[in-house]
Amino acid sequence: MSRKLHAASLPFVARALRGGRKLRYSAVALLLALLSVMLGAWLALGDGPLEHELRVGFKLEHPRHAQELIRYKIFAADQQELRELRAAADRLSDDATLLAIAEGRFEPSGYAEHRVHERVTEALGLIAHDPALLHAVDPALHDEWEALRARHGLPQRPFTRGYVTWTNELLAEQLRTIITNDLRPEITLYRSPLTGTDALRVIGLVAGAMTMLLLMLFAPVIAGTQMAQEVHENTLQPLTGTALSARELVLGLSLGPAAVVALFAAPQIVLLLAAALAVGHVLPALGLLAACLAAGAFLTALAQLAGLALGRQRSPSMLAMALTGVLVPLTFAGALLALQLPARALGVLALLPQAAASHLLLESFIPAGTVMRADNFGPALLGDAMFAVLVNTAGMLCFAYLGLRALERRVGELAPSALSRGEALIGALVSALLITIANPWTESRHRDPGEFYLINLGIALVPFSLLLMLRVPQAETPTALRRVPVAALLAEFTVGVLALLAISAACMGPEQLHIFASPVALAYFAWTIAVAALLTIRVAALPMSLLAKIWAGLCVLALGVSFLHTAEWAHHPHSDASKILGFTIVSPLLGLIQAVMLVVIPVVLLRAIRHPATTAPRPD
Amino acid sequence: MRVELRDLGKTYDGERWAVRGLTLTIPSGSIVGLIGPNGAGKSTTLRMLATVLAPSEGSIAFDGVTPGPDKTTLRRQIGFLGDGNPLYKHMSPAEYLRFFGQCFKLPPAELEPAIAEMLTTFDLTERRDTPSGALSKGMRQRLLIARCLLHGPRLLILDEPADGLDPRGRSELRAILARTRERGVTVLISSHILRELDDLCDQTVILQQGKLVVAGEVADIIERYEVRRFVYQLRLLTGGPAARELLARRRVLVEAEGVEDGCETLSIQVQGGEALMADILAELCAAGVRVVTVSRVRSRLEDVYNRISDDRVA
Repeated sequence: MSRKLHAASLPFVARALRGGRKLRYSAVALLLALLSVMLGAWLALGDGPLEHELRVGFKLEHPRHAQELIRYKIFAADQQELRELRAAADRLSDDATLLAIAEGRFEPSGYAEHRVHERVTEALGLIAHDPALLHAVDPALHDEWEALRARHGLPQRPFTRGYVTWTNELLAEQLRTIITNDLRPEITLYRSPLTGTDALRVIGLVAGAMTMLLLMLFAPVIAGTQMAQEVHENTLQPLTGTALSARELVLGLSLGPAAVVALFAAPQIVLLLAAALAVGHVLPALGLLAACLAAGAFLTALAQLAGLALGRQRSPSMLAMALTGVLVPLTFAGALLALQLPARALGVLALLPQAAASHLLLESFIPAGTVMRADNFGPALLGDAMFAVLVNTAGMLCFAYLGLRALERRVGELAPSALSRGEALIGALVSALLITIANPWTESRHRDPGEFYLINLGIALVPFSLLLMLRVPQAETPTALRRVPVAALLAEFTVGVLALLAISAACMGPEQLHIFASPVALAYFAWTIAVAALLTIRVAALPMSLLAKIWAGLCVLALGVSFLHTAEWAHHPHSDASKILGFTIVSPLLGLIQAVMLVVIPVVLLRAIRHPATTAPRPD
Repeated sequence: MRVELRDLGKTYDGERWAVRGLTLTIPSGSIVGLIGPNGAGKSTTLRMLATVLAPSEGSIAFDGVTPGPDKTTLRRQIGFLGDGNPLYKHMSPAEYLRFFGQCFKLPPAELEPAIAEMLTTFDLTERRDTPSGALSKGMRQRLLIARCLLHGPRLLILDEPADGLDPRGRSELRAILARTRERGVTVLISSHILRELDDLCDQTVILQQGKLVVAGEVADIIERYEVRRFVYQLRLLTGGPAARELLARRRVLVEAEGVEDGCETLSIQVQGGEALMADILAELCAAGVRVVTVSRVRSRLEDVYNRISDDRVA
C-alpha cells in the first residue's frame, strides 16, 4: 500500500515542489509562522485602540468602558490626559465634594472632570444601596462598606431605592475595588489586560486558524483549480495514458497540491501544538488536526469533482473564484457559529466541518465556561458538542472516501456511474445521520414534528441530489446512446428519503410522521421527491442549454412550493379541500397554472431523459 | 508489438460514427502511416489504440491479447502522442520528462540516464532547464515525442507529430523513427503531410469518413493505383517548340515545364504505356529535338491519395 502511495504521489509531489519551489515555499511558510506569532502577540499584548477592538470582538477582553466600571478605573489615552485626569480626581476626592456628588449638587467642568465625576457617581450610586442585602451574602465586605461610608461622612441610610444582586461576582468585585481605592478611581494609561500566557494562547489560536484555512480552504481551492486546469488544457489525457492506475492518478492529483499546503501548514501545526502543550489542551488540538484533515480531504475531493465536471467549459480561474466564493463564507460562518455557539444550534457542529474545527480550536485554548465563550455555552454542553464534532469527522472521512471513489471512476472512465449503488446508499445514510444529529428531535425544541423531520428532509435533499448526480451514467457513453435507468435511480433516491424518515420515526415515534396522515401531504411529498430526483437526473445526464437552465430554475421554484404544501397539509391534515392548490387562494388562474405545472414538470423532465438530445461534439 | 484491430468502431453521439468496421493487422516492428483528411477518424483510431478511449464496438489485440480493465501494464509498452497534447508551460524539458518518467514508474536508476538520452537525441540538452513555454514550436513538438519514447515503449503512436516542425525537424523526425524501428518498436503515425510518410512507412492505411479505404505496403498501393499512369520527364538540349507541337499532335498531356541545369524540362503524361513512349521518343529525335534524358516519374503516395479522394468524390 505504501509503495503504491509512493508511486502515485512521487510524480505529482515532485512536480509541485520541483526546482527551487520547495525552498521558496518553506521560506514563505516560516515567514507565515513568524507572522502568526507576531499577529498573536500583537493581538494579545498590543495597547492600541485597534488591538483593543479586536480583542473585544474575539471576546478576549471586555470593552474599555466595562473594564473602567468593573475595575473602577479611568483609562487615559496619553500622558497629557493622564495628568489632567489625575488632577481632576484630586479635586473630586475630598469628602465635601463626594457628598455633593452623592447628593447631585456638584457640576463638573471640563472633559477630565466630567469623566472622573461620571465614574465617582457610578461608585456612589453603587454604595448608596441598602447594605443589609450585602450583609447576608458577604458580611466582611459589608463591614468594609459601612466603614467606607463612615470614613467619608456619607449618609448611613440607603440613599437609593434600587435593588442589587450581590451574588453577582462582578458587582461584588466592583464594590471591593471601590472600597480598596477609597472611592478614588484609578487613573492609568490603557494597557492590554492579557498576560504572556494569554499571548501564547492567542498565538495558538492564530496558528490553528491558519491551519484551518490552509487545510479546509486553500487545499480544496488549489486542488480543484488544478484539476480544472488539467481538463481545460487537455493535459489530463496524456496522464491517463501512463502506467498510473486511475486510483493512483487521483491520489497523485490530490497529493501534489496537498504537499504544497502541507509545507505551508507544517510550521503552523508546530506552533499550534506547542502552544496547546504549553498553555492549552493538547487533545482538542489533535482533534482539530484530525477534523481539518478529514474535512480537507472531503472538500478537496468535492472541489476536484467540480473541476473535472466544469473544467472543459469554464476557465480554471472562474472555478477558483467560485470555490473561494463558496468556501470562504462557510469558513467564516463556521468560525462565528463556534464562537457564539448557542445550545439550540449545537448540532450544527455535526453538519458544518468548519464549525466543528473552529469549536475544537476554541476548546484548545479557550475552554467552555470561560468568560470569553458564549454565555450559554458551558461545560455541561461540552459532551454533546464533542459528540457532534466526532460524528462530523467520521462523516467527512466517509464522504472523502466516496469522493475519491467517484473521482477514480470519472478520471479513469472505469464505470458509467461515478458511485456504485452501495456507495451512494452509504452516503445517503451518513448524510441522514449527520442531519438528524444536527437537528435532533426534542419535544421542548420542536413545537411541531414537521420542524424536525421536514426540515431535515429539506436539508437532506441537497446531499441526496449530489449523490444521485454521481449515480447517473455518464462516462464515455454518447449522450444519445446513454440509457438512464430512471426507475432504478428514482428508487435509490426514495430509499435515501425513506431511511431519513425511518430515522426520524425512530427518534420521535412513527405516529408523529404526519405526512402519512394526510393523502394530500403524501401526494405533494411524493411529487417533491420524484421531481427532485428527475431534475437531478436531467441536470447530470444531459447538456444544459440556457433554456434548460431557466427550466431547471422554474422546477426548483415548483419544488419549493410543493414542499411548502407538504408541510402545510402535514400540519393541518383536515384543511379545506379547496386549498389543495394553494395558489387558488390568490387567484383561480394561478391555481390552474399550478395544476398544469404539477403535471407538466414531471412529464417534460421524464421526456427529456428518455429522449436525450444529441449535442455531443464529434471530434476527429 | 503486433496489433490487430477487429471491427473497431467509435461513436461519440450515438448517431454518427467517427470510425466503423475497421479491421487491420499491424505487424510487429513496422511503421504504419495513417492518412486521411480532417474528420476521417485518424485521431479517434489512435486514441483507441493507445487505450485512452474505449471503442464503442469491436476489439483491439496487442500481441494477440485483448487488454482487460487494468491497462496500466500495457500502457508501459505504449508511447502515445495525441493530437494537440499541450505541455506544462512552466516545466522545463528535464522536469517534464522526469514527471512522465515517474508516471511510467521508471526506476530512479534508469530515469536520469533515459532523460539525458532523450534530451541528446532530440537536441534539447542546451534547453533542458528552459521553461517549455519559452521553447519554439518545433522544440516543444520534439519534447512531446521524447516524452513518448522515454520509457522505451514497444508501440509508438504519434498523431500528427510533424506539426510545427521545420524541414530540418521533419528530417530529424524521420531519422528518429527509422532508428526507433531498428529497435523493433512498432510505430503508428498519422499525418496529413503525405510526403513525410511514403518513403518512411512500411504500410499505409487510408481512412475516409471513418472507414478504411485502402491498406497495405506503400509500394504496392502506389503500384496498384498507377497502373495506367505513365509520367515521364524529358530533358531537352534544343527543340522545345518542335517537341511541344509533336506532343500536342500525339495528344500527350504536358503536366509541367521548367529548366534544369540549363536544359528545358517537360513532364508529360502518356496515355498508352511504355511502347507508346518509345514511339514518341523516336518521333522527337526524327523531328530534330535533341533529347538529353528520358526518365519515368514514379507516382508518390500523395498522387495515389489524391486519386482515391477524387474517385470517392466522384
